[in-house]
Amino acid sequence: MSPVRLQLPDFCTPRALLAVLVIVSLTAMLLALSSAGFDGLFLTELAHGLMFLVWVGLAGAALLCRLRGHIATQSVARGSAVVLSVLAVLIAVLSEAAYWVLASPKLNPENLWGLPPGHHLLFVLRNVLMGLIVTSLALRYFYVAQQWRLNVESQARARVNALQARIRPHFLYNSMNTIASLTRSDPSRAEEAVQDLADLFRANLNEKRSLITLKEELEAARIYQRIEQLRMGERLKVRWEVKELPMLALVPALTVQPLLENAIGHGVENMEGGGTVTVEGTEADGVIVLRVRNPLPLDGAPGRGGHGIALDNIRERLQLIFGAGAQTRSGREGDEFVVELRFPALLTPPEMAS
Amino acid sequence: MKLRAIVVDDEELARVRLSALLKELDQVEVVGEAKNAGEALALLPKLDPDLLYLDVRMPGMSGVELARHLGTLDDPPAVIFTTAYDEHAMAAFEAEAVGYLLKPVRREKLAAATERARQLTRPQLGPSPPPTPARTWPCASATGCAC
Repeated sequence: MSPVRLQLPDFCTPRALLAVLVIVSLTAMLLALSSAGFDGLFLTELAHGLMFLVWVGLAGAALLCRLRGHIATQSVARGSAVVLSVLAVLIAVLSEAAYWVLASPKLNPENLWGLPPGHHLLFVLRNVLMGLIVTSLALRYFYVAQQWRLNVESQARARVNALQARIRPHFLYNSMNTIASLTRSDPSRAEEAVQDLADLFRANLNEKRSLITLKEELEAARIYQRIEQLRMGERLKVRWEVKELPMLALVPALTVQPLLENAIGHGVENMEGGGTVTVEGTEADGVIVLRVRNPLPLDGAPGRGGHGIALDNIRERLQLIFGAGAQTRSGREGDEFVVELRFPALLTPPEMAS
Repeated sequence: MKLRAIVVDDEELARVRLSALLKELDQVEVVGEAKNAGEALALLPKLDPDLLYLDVRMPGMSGVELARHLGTLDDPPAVIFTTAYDEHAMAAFEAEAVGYLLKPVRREKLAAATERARQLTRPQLGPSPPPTPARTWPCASATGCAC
């Protein structure tokens, strides 16, 4: 996953400018309330504050609008530092200008803002500090909003992935063809195949439970194997070495079955003589290790991409549920392709990892 | 006279079903079955089929590859593809198949594609063959053709 970047709102848009003006107005109101309370000076203070802060807000928005592309390439810390420095300099410059206007006897003969003489540096420093505090709060808000959005997105993506992980149309049509054939030659096996297919689709279309027991998932994978067995006959052999696994441990639905599907579709099915897929599982120190191995066709597996998609998908769903506790690995080992999943053996659903 | 056909599919049950459906058709007779492209090629000289029902997806040489190879032969048999999933249609048409059937194959569509194959290939086998000298278009001669 790429490192997190600070994503600022696009300050070039009218909507963002309006938000800036609202923040600026609220800040001016806060300042006026704190210095004047509700007596007669409140409105004067508010007007003064607004006059200054609107300049800061609009000029700041213009600068951030230009710098947005640059900030988006920086890490969160560096991006925040850039934003804070730019605004500090801007506020310093504008404060300096404001000071010159206010302190000039010609432009401001009545000393409207009651600026005490000799406070030049303090005036600028005070403004910069206040500006930095408000900006920091805004940055924090943007960051949290962004994190929240990313979280929502990744959950939505996981849902989509779970949908995509479902049985491929190819399998459905092939199975239907097998059943059509069996209906003539062996009606009782056709009946079994229909029942298996129904069970498999029930497991696949189950929207409600994303976590199921290992036993249920392995059962779904076995049903899948039975149907493929009808189609491929002697060419397909599957070795199950899963007795050691804690069958009540929870896994995301469609963890093992798609791997078996891949191992068959990208491996055994492309070999004229067929081959053996091995599904093996162990548990040690509360960690489950599942490995699915298949022989590789000699001419380099056609459509290896499919392996990748299903695997990315399983990886993402495991990470969403188990966080850093989940690891996936895949690659060639000798003349076999191996996919390995590691995740904690949990009997109760964990909190969603963020 | 019936078309002589070979059914090529890596799945036994798919071959069984297609052969059973073809048995019910008058235009065609299944003279052999093959479970991959290699077997089909080996059967060609022996059986001299008019028509191949070819599964697109097979281990080793795919149905489309086999059809392309057949296209390079003299007087090749016609090809009707059968496939479970409609993702190879373009490649199949480029290989100049007479038909493209989706599994599970429907009887009527199988009959229609087979009839098309009968009309397009070896028309002399048809019930009312046009006499051979009827071919009079200019490009049929080997001596220079402008088109």
